[in-house]
Amino acid sequence: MDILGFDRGLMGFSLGVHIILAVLGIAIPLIILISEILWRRTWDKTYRILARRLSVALAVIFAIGTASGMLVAIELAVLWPKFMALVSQVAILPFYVEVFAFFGESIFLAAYLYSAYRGSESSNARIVFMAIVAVCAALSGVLITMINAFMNTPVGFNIPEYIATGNVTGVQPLAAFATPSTATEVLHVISSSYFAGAFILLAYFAYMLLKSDETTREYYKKVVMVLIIVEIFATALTVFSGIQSISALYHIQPEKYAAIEGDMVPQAYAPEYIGGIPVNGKLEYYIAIPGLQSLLATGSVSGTVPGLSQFPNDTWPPLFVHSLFDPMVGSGFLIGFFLMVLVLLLVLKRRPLDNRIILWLTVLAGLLAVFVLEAGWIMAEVGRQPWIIYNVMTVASAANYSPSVIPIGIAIIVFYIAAVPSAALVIRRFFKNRPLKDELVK
Amino acid sequence: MNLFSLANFLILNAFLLTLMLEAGTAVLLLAGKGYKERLKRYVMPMWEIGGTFLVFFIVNLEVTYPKLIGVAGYIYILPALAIAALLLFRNAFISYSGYISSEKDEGRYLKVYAAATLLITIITAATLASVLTGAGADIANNTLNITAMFLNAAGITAILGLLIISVIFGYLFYRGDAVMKPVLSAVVFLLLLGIEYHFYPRVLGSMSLLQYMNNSAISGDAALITVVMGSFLSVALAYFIYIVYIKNEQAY
Repeated sequence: MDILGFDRGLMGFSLGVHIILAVLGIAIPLIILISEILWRRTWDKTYRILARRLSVALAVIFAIGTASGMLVAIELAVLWPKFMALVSQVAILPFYVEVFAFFGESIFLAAYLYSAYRGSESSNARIVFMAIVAVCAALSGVLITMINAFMNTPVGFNIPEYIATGNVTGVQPLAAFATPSTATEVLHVISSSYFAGAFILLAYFAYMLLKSDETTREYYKKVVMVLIIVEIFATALTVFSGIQSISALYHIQPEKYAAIEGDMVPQAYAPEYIGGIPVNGKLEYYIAIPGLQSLLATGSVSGTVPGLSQFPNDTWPPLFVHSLFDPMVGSGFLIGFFLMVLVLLLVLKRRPLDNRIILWLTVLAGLLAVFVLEAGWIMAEVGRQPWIIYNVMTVASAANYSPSVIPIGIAIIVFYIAAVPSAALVIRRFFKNRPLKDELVK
Repeated sequence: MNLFSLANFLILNAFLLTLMLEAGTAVLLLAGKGYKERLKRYVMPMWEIGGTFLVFFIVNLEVTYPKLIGVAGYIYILPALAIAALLLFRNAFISYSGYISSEKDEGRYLKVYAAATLLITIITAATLASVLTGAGADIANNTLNITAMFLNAAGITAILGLLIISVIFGYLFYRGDAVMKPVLSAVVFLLLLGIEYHFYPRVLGSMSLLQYMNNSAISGDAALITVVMGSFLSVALAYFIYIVYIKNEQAY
């Protein structure tokens, strides 16, 4: 493999792992905050125990996530030095504010943990501390997404002059906070972070409910209920913002849009292609739903959608993004449908949480949610190729070609592979030594 | 030296201060000489704050000297990634040690943390020295000779100096009778470094640091953000340290 490929692989792998820690780091504070508020409202011990136990998991995930975040920050600078040199002169402010959000998160998480284990049972301070942690965690996601939006729709400097001469002029420092793609992208990233993060927890607690006995069953049921309610909002928002994002692509990144939808030639009355494999520059073996794509993208079945043939061959993204798009959307809708059924059963008082099949399906939905998250992320990043900054800088021209990256890159991959399962193991061991039963009886 | 370099330098100092305290702690942990309870109590929040300051420094470096990233990112890829990997490793072990119930395992995990922290300190010292003197760096070919980076007068003195001060700093700090003395000595050290830096604002041996400065409109806004957010967080941090250390200390 060449060094560029290795740089790409290392960055992709690091982000792929980091994203799981990140969504948990964004979702768990919200769940803890809700539990703290419920505890103060109902004085039901379940919620206090949930908050305390989740905060241990959060502390471990935060520690690994912090290190992984530093790793990604350092990787950005050393794997893509030319990219960071431009971002630093044009769009660094979101990144810079993010450091403070991260600072705030670490200080107030420490304050929360301190208060949770040493402070009074009914302290209101804990709600404030966790609220700040939750806001800062979400804000970190928002600010980093702003950099990603800048990569998709660069603004805030004289682009023609930069391409012609390499000089950075006409910088507007605040432009990076609101590029044309920022709003839709931020909404989709944040809602899908809550969606995926809470689903990982939901899958875990549904599994624990399956394994529970008389003493712990009620606890797990209440926790699962809280998570289902969070999921209803998060899933709805994710689907809504997802449709927004793909429609936005139609305007701002037509190549990416065409590659994702599998459109080889521009056409009116475009069908939505489901499945299909690109063969010799043509999509084959697909199912087409007439007019749907034009309707979704343009608001009318007669609308024209772009096709890859409009663009030079060397700016086409890899065509496999279409093969990721279908399973991602399909799984997302499957999960949404499952949630709707679940809510209907709850409303009809059919006690779905006593049904083992439904609980197993919930665990399965959690795994699917992680798949949707990763597939969506890979699709979004690979769909921008060959650009690192759309129409300004290619990945190949930004990369670091020093061969030193290979040995240390392999070490990082090995560390990552070890760090995540060992974090899970430590959390598990901690809970094993402090059984839920003892806390419930206390 | 202008205000932006000064801010960047102060942030580097804050990071070095936490790193020195951690390195001192690491040596004491490895030597296994008493103070274990005290060590644990101080090291727990300290490692996280040190890590945040490192990120703060790196991002501030990107804001202040963006053109340096293009050069240094190439040359120092190996030490930078090594520090990053060690950080991941170290954070994992220190956080695990807090949630492991067996005393023996906890000690072992803390030792792994200590060893990784010492390595980070050594690599950081040598890298910083090399960024200033250019030892081992081949700017024309964008490569780095690792052996030459460590084994030169500036590199060796930087490593030894940082370690010696760290150990004394740590030892005095944990002996606990006078907290001010070690903190003062570290501040004096950093001041000396600052004076040296003031007269020698060059990187990679001969290049002027100022040639890498950000000349875009970013700097002014970044300075405003640094002051506003920095003050807010300093207050939050001071409040937190007050709750955890001062109140806690009184309770003992």
